Amino acid sequence: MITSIKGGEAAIAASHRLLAKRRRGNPAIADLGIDQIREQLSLAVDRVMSEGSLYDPDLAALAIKQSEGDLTEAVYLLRAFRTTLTRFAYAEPVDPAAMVVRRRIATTHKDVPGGQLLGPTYDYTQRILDIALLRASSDDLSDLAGEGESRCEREAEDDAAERGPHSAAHALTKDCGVLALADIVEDARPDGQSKVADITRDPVEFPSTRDQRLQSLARGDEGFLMGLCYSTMRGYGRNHPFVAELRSGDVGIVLTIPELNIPVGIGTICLTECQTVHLTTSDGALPPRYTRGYGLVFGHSERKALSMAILDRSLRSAELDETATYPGQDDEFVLSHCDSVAASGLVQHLKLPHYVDFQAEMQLLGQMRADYAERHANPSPKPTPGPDMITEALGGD
Amino acid sequence: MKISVTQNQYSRQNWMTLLAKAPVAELDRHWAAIARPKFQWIRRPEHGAAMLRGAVGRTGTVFNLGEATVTRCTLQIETGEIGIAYVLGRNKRHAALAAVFDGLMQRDQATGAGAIGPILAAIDRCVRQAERATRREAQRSKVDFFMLGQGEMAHDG
Repeated sequence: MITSIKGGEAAIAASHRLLAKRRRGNPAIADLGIDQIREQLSLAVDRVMSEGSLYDPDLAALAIKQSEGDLTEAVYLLRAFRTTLTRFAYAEPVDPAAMVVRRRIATTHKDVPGGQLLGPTYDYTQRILDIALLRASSDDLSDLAGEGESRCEREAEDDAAERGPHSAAHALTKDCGVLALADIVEDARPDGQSKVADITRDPVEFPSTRDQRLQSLARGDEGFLMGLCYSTMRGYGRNHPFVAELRSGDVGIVLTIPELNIPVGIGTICLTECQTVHLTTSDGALPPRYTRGYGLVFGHSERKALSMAILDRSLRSAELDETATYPGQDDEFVLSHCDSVAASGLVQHLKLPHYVDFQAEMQLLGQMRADYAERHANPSPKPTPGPDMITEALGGD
Repeated sequence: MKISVTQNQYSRQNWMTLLAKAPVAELDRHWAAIARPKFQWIRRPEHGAAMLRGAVGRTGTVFNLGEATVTRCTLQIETGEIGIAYVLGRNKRHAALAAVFDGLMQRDQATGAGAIGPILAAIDRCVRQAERATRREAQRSKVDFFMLGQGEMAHDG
């Protein structure tokens, strides 16, 4: 039952002041700039953009500052802001083949066209806290800046002569590794969809379609998706893929300008793309082969892109004649629970006043306890036991 | 690779794309160096969003990925050309400068003046150079893992 509560304005205003005070922290320490968050906490910014379902690094950084680094709260702030924006248009599908690649790996073959480009990754770090980052002197790059700059200038000059990056960039536009083996890997052909589902406009109905699932997963909570993905790999769903392609970098966004009706680039964004292949034998109509999982997320987030790809595949049970037995294969379970804004809303609403609900339940409890006491005082000859009375009887009362 | 492009080699699609990709500082630099045209707003810069999309395996089922902020505006320069800009993000100055240059570029094409073409070429070089620098950085981290017991086990690690 919903009942309205009035009053509390002064207390709420005081709470807001305390929030502002805590957000600022020790005033002797320099205030944190939005630009510092955007530049130096970029992976947090990426996560907030991805789950907030709005690409805007400045606004995501602002949300992180406003929420004191509570990323789930920041996601909520960005998602709420998103609803205030007029949607000008739908962009053309991005083309990660044309990405300016910052990192790229393919795990099925050692040698793949375009090469294995480690880029910035924590994969090969030792996970030892770097105490050097604590020291204020670590900000002093005076002895490094000169050298770095001159190297950049040299690069600019020999750009014209160098062919290497060019041919490598070209190689990166092609499918490689297992994805190049067209006879054993499922096609990625358009499936003749007449319109692209949009979960921001129409709620998902079950059974869901792949476009609905991918849109939900793209903004789903990273922790939830990773946990489910982990469960499918550990045996709660037979799902142990190979990563055929994992890359992140800058991709151009193309929009058909309504006034001109021509497709025009409107800028670039950073994306992470993950393509997985899964050995599939269950589909009797086709020979055993690899089927695909696909993950695409804003910013640089390989954990989420991987989880999304693997869940995309595990949620295709119906399409591929597999028995859906586990949570990670159940689209209704996954899609209904992967959104952190929805989940946080329901979980956290328990902190709001429930005075009336609780009074109602207390009345019910009082009645039930009175009935219980009465039954125990004079054991009833009435042959109409409810389920709770049966339990009591079994308990040897 | 030598880039020597005149404005005739850019279609409107190309130059609008370039203007949207250009760093705002770069647009500002060129804006400071040209004879500034008078113009009227048709639509002042406004914020909104575009829904971005992806496709499974790049060519398959299309899905909505999430939105991005976009700023757009429309203006008419004194000689009548209508400049339009749609740019990612919420930088109104970027959209305004892109729309002015869009109008000027159309005027150049119509009159054969050729004043703005070199600016576009400079922006093109700037954008490409930044992309090449990123590619080169990534290439520096190219790894060649090798496997022990090559030969019989040459197919997997």
